[in-house]
Amino acid sequence: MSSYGRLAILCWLVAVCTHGQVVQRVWPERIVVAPGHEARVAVEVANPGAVDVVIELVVRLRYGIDAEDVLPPSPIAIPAGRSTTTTVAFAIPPDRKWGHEVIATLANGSEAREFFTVGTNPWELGHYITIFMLRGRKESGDIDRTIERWRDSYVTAFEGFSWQPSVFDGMAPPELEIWRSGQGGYKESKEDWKYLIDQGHKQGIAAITYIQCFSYGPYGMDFARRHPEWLTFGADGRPAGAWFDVDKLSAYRDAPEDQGFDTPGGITTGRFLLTRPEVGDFWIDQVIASVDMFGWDGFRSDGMPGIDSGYDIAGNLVEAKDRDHNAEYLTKVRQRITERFPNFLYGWNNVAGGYPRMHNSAAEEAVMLKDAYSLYEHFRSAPDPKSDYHTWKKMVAHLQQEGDAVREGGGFPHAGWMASLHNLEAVASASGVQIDTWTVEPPSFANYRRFEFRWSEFLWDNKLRHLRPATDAVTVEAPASIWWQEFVQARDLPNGGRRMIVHMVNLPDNDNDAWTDQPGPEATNVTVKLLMPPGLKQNRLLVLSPDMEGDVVTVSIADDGTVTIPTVVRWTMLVAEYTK
Amino acid sequence: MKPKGKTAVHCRIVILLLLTAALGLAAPVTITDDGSTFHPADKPERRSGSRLFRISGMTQQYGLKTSIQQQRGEDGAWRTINSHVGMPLPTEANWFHSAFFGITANGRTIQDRDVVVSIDETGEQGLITFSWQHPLVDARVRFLLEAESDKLLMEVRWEGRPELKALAIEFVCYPQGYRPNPASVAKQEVLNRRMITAVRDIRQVNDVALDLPEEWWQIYQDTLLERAPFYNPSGPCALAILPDDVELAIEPEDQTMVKITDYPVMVKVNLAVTSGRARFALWDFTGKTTTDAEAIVTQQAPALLEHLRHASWLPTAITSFNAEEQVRELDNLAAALGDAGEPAVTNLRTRLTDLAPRLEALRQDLPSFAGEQQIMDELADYRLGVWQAARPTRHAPRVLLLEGLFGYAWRVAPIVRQAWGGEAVRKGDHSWKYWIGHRVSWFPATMDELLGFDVVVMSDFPQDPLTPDMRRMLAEFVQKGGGLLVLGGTYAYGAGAWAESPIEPLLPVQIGGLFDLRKLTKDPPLHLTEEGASALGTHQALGTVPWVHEVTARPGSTIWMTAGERPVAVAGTAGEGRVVTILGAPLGDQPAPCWESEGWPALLAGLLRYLASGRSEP
Repeated sequence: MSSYGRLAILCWLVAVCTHGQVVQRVWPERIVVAPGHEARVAVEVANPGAVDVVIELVVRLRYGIDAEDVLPPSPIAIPAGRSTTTTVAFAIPPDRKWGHEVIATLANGSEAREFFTVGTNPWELGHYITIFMLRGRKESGDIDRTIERWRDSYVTAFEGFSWQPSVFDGMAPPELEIWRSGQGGYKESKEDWKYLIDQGHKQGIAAITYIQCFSYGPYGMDFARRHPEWLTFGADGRPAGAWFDVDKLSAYRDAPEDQGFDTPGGITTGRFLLTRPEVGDFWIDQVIASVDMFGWDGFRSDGMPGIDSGYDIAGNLVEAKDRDHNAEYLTKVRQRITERFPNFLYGWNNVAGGYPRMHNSAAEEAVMLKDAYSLYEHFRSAPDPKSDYHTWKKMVAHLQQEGDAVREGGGFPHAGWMASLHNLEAVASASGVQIDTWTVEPPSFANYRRFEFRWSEFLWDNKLRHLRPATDAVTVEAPASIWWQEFVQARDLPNGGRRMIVHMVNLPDNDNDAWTDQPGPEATNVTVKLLMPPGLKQNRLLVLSPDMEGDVVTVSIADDGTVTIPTVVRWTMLVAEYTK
Repeated sequence: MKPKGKTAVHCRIVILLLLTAALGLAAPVTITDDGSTFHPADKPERRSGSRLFRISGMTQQYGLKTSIQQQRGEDGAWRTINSHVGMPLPTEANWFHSAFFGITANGRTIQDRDVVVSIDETGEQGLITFSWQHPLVDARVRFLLEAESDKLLMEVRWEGRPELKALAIEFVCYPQGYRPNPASVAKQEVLNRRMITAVRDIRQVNDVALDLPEEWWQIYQDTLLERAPFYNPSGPCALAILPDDVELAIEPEDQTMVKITDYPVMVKVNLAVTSGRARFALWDFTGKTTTDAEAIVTQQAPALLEHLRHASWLPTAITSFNAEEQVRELDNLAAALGDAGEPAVTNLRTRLTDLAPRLEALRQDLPSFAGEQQIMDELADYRLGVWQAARPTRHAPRVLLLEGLFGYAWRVAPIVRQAWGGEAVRKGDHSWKYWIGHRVSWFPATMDELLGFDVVVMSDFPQDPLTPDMRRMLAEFVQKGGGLLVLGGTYAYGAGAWAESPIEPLLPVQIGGLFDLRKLTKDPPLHLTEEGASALGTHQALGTVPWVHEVTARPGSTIWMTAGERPVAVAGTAGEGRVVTILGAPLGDQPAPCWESEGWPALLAGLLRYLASGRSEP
């Protein structure tokens, strides 16, 4: 070998041996950790060098405005050319809640981070997504890939949408392994659903089943036929709330696998008469049996079984004169299911704020809202220029009217289902409402979802209240395109403190341009002057934006407390905390 | 290897298409009457309604719709003040969905009155006719729907009074749509209508005279909407005018004029009053480009011109009537019936001798409306006579099964298929959606088509999906000798709303209230009565019926089956037909119900055989 050759090998060896070790991945085992439990985080470190090394690893946990826990440094031994995964654990105190960032740093400065959250209700903490048509997706590996995508999008709960052979009565079909769903005709199987739920659970993702008061398809129609005395009839002597196409029902019955995706018929079996309480009990039993069979963590009710007025099969009119009967039934639902599954999660389609109209009585809302998901599905029409929610001003007014009512009741306001975008995420979260979308977002959009996940405490905390007029508490000097007066919120903190939040959302002048996801012209040197609550003093202030690398915006604060934000791109949030 | 899933379906379709092509078979043309719907009155004294006829068996899914406006008279009765025909399918665009033509006599509309609609034929070809009777003229617009064709052939015929001086038809279309899509609006793009003929290509000009006969076909399109997005499929449309019967006078007011506006395109054709007829072809090219449309029209044009001249708009019952074949059919019938059938066959032979030459004459000439109707009535009567006479020779009943929500539990279709093969039963299924209304998936469009069956079974089937015409036809079918079997369910009897329909008087039971279902406190097994066993033979292991309809047997009816003391099957006659009502409903979860019993298939088959054979003594 020539001297040049020897020199080259030597150079290569030097380069390899001194090449930096890197943190390849930080991965919380569970995306949601229950308070009082341990958060385990896997840290994968690679050593691309040619010699074995031992390097020091420091893992930190950030949460709240600026709180940080640091684990003692630990040496990591990594063989040459290999990677090592070490698992660290944080004891999460019982009173801890909301988004956490875990950061792993090597002595050479290599660093990686990831996020998880702490709490008990996934609807409050992170994003919700829907899924159906699962058959065959375990074997193809698609379920595993789907869960990975959900983790990347900070999904804390998924919904099994209309997966049942019949929604009201087919939640635990012992006799079926595969089926076409009664609503939509989706191809489903028991094995695939169980696998998805099990795999989701391993990662802390809750599984929510979609429920309704309708029996669907051949399976559901046969249920209705076999229980005629359970049905409610109209004044015309016919089953109430039925719609069907016998031609399609026959086709689904005779050759289910040859059919397209359709709903051949449905019947409202789950709205029962006061004289038929056994129907309501049957359904509660169905839910319990379904949880036993599949392992659901909760339900989202899109048309709740309950008590209705109508005729029985003999033509006797049975009137439920007020909605209190239904409130009693809802109470029974929560009691009986919670008795069996103490952590069961409840979610409902709802209109708590009154627009376009109230569906439930105050007594029903009192039962439904507490610690429950509340979906404002009317809102899905918002992108349509003809919608009453169209124009962003109207949208915000309606969202906040609904969201405020849900928060007052102790629930978690969501709106959907619709395609989301940056502007919508900003406006909805700044209003205290989460947007439910059915897609896993593209990477650019995922940053907004991550931002919301980490800082959820300042967005979705249902103890936050809008301050109106906002000018009583804050003054913002900014171009007209910056919305802020609609987005000022506050809440009391333990020990007499107070938290105040000011969102600044920059939307284009042209209303429809917001739907094409354009921000307004970039605003510079926006100033925020907070009026100090009497008797309190400011002790923390943080300005955040998903449009900025690392989320935290560096601001200048004048002697009089005026905060100057150098740039507002699309969405910036100021959080201030006061103590006595 | 056996193909799976979609592949298998595709394979089957390909094989079917190849077979169809090889055998020269075309799918039959069907016309489905969705029935009349009147919209809630916007004013107490005025209302509007529509009736859609869906056409299948052509290469384009056309639909024709009558649109009616009515005004309430002083006597409270509704009176039609205008009636139009629209073409809402294959698209709401193109030929105007609510009124794609209007007829004027002496410059005034003749459609300020009721329209009479008749479906005259389905099968090898379809015929649907819209008629108006006006003081100046009786006009009839008949569409000839040819199997596997892409266009509607339209004939206007009229019989004018001496006062009739001018007759015109004006077509209206909105080629490819009504408005630009939002993206085009944002770019301030506007509609740009265009007409293409054999000799020119022009855009948005008012009052262009068509140079007939050179420009006997025209394509209408919109250059903006040609770029419609995939989710809003569109396509051009075209009109062909047989110039032979059009007024070609050189006077400007008599010329065929086209207005190509930025909204509708209107073509006014002045008809030669004395000719008595005019013929057109209309295409809707939804899903195709203008280039496609031009290629198709130019390729079809030479043959189409001759076809429009020589095609017959008469029913094939007239045009294909073959007297010699009929004679042979009667000979065969006579042989099958023996001496007992001799009087009936002789009667038919006499009628045939009378009918045949008149049918031949009708084919050679342009028949008067009354003349054509008379022959059609006589022909229908003759065919009914053949059907009635041949009844005893049929051993396998042909069943029209009208099935409602829970009707499947009676298992009529599988039992009939098992007994007599797949061709022995055809279904018309009930659909109900509050946003659409009640529909039946299929029902014979003509009496002739209904005579293809021996028995109609209504299994948990209400009256709502049947139009008044269908109900009348069904009643006539039974009275002329057809069989009717009624099976219970939540949409049958009382809840079936049969009261006041022409069917109800034919039943051997009197229907009570809407809520007539009663649960039997015990589940006594079903037994045939002596009369039932006498008609149907012995049947055992019939299970139970937990729910029965409470109705009253009519005088003259016979109870054939009971559950304990309660009647479950009641038989009767109506005219020349036989009717059996099964009063059980296939409801409940009890073990061993009748419809799942071992004995039910044989009992049902026996009932259908009995019903198919008609009443022995008229």
